[in-house]
Amino acid sequence: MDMAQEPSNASRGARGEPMIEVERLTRYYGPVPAINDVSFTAHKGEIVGFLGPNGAGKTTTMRMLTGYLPPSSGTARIAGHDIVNDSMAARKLIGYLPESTPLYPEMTVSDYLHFMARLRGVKDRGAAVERVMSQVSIDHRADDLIGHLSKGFRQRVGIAQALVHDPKLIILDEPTIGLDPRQIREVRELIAELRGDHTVLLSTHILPEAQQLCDRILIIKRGQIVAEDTTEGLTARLGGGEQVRVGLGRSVPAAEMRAALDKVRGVTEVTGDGDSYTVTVQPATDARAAIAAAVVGNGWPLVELNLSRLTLEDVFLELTASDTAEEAMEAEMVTEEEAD
Amino acid sequence: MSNVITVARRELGVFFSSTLFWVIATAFMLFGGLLFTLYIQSPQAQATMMPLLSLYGTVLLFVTPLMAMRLLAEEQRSGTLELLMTSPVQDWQVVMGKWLGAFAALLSLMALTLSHVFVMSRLSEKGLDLGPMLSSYLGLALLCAALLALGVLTSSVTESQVVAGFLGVMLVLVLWFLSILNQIGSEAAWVKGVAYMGLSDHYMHFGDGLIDTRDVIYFLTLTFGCLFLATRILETRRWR
Ligand SMILES: Nc1ncnc2c1ncn2[C@@H]1O[C@H](COP(=O)(O)OP(=O)(O)O)[C@@H](O)[C@H]1O
Ligand SMILES: [Mg+2]
Repeated sequence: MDMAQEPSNASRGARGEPMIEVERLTRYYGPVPAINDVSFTAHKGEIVGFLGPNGAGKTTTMRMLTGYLPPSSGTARIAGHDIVNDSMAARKLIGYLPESTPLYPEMTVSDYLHFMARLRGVKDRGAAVERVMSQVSIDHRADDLIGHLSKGFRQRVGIAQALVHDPKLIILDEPTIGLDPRQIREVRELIAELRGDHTVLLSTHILPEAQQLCDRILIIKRGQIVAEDTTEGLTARLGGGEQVRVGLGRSVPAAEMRAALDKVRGVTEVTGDGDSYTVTVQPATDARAAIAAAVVGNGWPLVELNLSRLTLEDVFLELTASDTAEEAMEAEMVTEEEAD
Repeated sequence: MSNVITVARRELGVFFSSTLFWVIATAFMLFGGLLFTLYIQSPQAQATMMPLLSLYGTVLLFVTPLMAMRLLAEEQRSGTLELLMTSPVQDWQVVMGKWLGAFAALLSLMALTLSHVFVMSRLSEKGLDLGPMLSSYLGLALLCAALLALGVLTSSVTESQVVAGFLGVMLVLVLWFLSILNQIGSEAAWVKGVAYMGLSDHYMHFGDGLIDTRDVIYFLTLTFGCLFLATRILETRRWR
């Protein structure tokens, strides 16, 4: 099969070498673990999303990966370099945009990017700064003070500094937080353009954002990864597969219907009776044609055939479902926010 | 080393483009110039560096905390420190670079005081001795270095510039006046010891043209001790 037509981006990524390897990472603030025994791997060229409600531990994890916070226990490697013992080598490979986009308001865009390029040891700084400024379309504001820019432009400057040394790995902590819808779209487009050349780890509490941008999603809740899969896989796994609704023109005995459909490849469960059945099929096996053929082949009038996928939003809500009503409401609010 | 220079260069640029720095520079020259004028018109005026030295020292006690208070506190408040410290740069290089940038800015300000020295040398018949002048400027530079390092230290413990500046002035004043203990005439070892930690005696020694290595070592120890402490404080603030 042609790589470009491969439906699952994660399986493409899985062939690359590992860029981030996290093993049992744990971080305490005082007696409370903010991140507890987290392990995952991100491969070269992948866009991996860290999805979770506020306070889940996304920022804490990213700060450990970038060498800002020392882990309490566990290890992580960036392209094979240990983040504690080989921190400088690991840092050289990373471009990082912290959560609140900290910048120096008293510097001009161009001066600032030169400064960051120099800190990261870029040789041809002039060319590198030109390249990233045009990449994020900020060239026309090169000589403006950062403090005078709008939030959207500042966010672009923040992304530009993360790219200026052409890092293998880009870590973006909630890159669209606090922007207006148009700015959000622009930033998402920028991130989407990074696909392929770089490995990207981004965090978000907004579900559609993760769905839109990421090849693979790690759902994190209270310091632990509660689910990890491709967007498609995650949905399928939680729902136990896709469901096909079958509507008939007349009543058919459930036993006959079950006997007929059980023969169809991929069918795992048949429920319902009379003129309405729900057929559960294995993930990513669209068995609608085969089901239709089986139904019609038995001489039953087929009037409705619907494939219903669980949305990732359902998955997210279910996985992060909280014990208290208050927390549940909060989780709901973030998934409803901004459907773009 | 190049990382230190990179950080220092940015810092120097920030100083030269900040209003506060030029306010400080203007105040320093006006205030210093006024006192200087009053002094050289007074009957007991002598063509030595001693009075100038104590004049600049006193002004510096207030100028350096003002200059240094922003250095680390503001980066911690705004979060820019996170980007610095996740760049392939060691923590001590960041601290050192910040201090060096401020030191360079302050030295450039001190260079302006050469005009006072020039006036003084023209007023006296035999001119100023080169020896005391050079040693005085060495003392001045060492004092600037130490006071700024103290300011970097107080700037590392807080996210608030105001708190950092206030702590800085207090610390500097206390250290400066510890030397006064020498004048109470006590022979107790601890009094001598504490007085020896004071800034002002070590500093004033440079005025007479002799360079005592103990004074030099005192200032260098103070400077690098403070920078070392500031680095450790930044590290432990992240560890919590
Ligand atoms: N500096 C800190 N000191 C104490 N607790 C912290 C600190 N930073 C974060 N936390 C706590 O750790 C948990 C995870 O926070 P964080 O990593 O910022 O989550 P997220 O980025 O997913 O919103 C939260 O409960 C938060 O209150
Ligand atoms: Mg966060």
